[in-house]
Amino acid sequence: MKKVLKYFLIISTIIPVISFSSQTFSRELVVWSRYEPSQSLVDAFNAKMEADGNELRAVNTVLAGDMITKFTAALAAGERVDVVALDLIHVPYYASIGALEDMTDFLKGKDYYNNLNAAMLHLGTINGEHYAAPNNLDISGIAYNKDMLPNPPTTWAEMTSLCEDFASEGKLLMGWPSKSFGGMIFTWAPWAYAEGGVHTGLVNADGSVANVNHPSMVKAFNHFTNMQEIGCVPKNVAAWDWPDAQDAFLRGDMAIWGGGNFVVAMQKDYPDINMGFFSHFSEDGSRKSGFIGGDLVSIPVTTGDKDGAVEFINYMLSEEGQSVYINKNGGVPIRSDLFDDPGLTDDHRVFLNGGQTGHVPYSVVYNELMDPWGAVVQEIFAGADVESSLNSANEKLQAIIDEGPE
Amino acid sequence: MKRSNKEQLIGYLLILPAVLLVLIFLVYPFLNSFYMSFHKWPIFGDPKFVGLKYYIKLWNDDNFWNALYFTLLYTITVTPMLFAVALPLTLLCNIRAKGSTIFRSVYFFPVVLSFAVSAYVWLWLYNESYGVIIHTLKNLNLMSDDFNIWLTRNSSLIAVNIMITWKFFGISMIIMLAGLQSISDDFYEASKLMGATRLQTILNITLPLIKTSIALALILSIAGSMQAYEPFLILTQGGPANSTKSLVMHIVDTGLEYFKLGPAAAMGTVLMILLLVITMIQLYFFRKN
Repeated sequence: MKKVLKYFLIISTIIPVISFSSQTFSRELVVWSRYEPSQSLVDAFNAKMEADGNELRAVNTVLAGDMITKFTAALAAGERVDVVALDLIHVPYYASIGALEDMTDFLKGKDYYNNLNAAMLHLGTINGEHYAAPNNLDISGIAYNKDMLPNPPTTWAEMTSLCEDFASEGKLLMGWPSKSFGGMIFTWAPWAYAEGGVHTGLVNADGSVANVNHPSMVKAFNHFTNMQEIGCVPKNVAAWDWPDAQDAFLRGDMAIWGGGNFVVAMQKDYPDINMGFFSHFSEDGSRKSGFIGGDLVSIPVTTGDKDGAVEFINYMLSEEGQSVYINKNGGVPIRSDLFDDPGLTDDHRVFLNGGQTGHVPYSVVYNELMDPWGAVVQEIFAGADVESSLNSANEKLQAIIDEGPE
Repeated sequence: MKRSNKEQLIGYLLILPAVLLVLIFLVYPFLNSFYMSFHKWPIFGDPKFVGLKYYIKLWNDDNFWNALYFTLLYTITVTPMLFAVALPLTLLCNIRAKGSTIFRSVYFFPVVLSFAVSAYVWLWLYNESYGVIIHTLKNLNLMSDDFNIWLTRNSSLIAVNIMITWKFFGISMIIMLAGLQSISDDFYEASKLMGATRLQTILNITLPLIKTSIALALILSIAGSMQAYEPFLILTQGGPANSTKSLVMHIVDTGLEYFKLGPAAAMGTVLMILLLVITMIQLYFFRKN
């Protein structure tokens, strides 16, 4: 019996080792992504490699909310990651600490270089050198219920007038996720960007000066707190999180909701809501804006196959790769020369047009800036004075910027 | 002698796995964290010794003091709630009656539920639009229609305290129950003979004799409350306006969101020293009495 047990233990130790070593591919790329939809692009790339007789294969790991913590830990430990698709607002930090490979020659050598989303490219650029490429675009905009609101507003004055009408009938015109700092910078801050222009409303162009107390931000907060006072915005909107605002709109209880181009694909799941879309606009309606969100793709310095990583990114940015985003994921392309893809609808183009004058803040301490930003949003919509709150928040933001990253 | 040495060696070998686990997952991380607290620790590059810089900075760090103040406030408010529920139920569960074992299991059930699952269930119960609790209170006119429990710090704190009490009173109950069941029946018989009322028996015999169990439950409760993280991460996200940001939340944000490992390590060390001091005070108080 003892002998049988001994041989069983030996065999059961050897077999997994043998079977494990027989499963590895000869050339594997380690790809880390934020979202599940990235798998469709990886599958398409692998299918192309197989069709071309190329031994290169990408293995995708989706990290979702743990992305930043795990990627940073991997960098510190020197763990191999060949391609990483990061939320673009984190890229300036990683580029500034030397965590990403230079992609300048690769990108500038492309004939579509000038068609890449400039705002996204800016976030991966230091002193003219590119360390990341646009990958997946998420532009914010406004969804509205056409049945509740046959004629959407085009100026802030029209918004106020509609607010009075809705409030008199006890209905909600709009609400926003005050509790979600990311939700507010994505779906609410562009009202200020449309009014004040790019690089206003959080930090300046190179992220060295805080400007959350910019006049356009003061104006925007005054306008929307006034709507709260009128009564077409919930009095307790300061406690609303993303699901509260989303659910109110998708239940048909609220006419206007800040979202992104991802909402276009949601229409099929909510056929009862007759959705229309428009971009954030300035007070007089003459200027549009949106928050340019999404992912940038980079090659970490811990890569084990830089050539393979470049090949993968080349596919991602190609017309074929971008077509996967459009037609399989319902996304929008990061190249303006592909805006006429038949997979894009008029609804998508509303967001794309807003994205042309859209904005995304550049900062190497973005995460830390979100703390005072989130706090001041909640304070103001809970009743605090707009100007003094923004001035106080601006001091905190500047102190964080001056201290810099570790 | 030889047999005794052999037995000693076997004893050491048997505890070796546990000792290794403690060394690897407790002692080493603590020593490493303590070392980091004296260094600027970038993700790339070599650490740079900065001495007491991060400890001195804490003195003027409003975020640190606000988080510490809130954590102490939470600890002071949730601990009595836990014991106010646990102690009477402990006395009830000690009654030798049919079905008392089932009740002990039912009361302990929330403890074994995953924290994240529990928190998301309570998030729904408290939801302004869908929550059963809020809906019921509004229907009974005990709450205004536009009330949202996460709107103020005080209402958020009450909501979290209720959830934590429901989740963890079972642990305090089980600890005190173990103490109760070690009390000899002779004491109760003697008190009965002397004509003591039920309340007198509880106050003069039961509670003093389970003092050590109460002390243990109290120490664990306070230590757990001082290190609270998940309830505020899931239920309040530190809001409104960072007013419910606990100290551990601030440490995690500083270290793992802002990647300022040195300052985070310094705050962690301060928290550990604070917990040690509080625990020593509690032990001194209970031993003295």
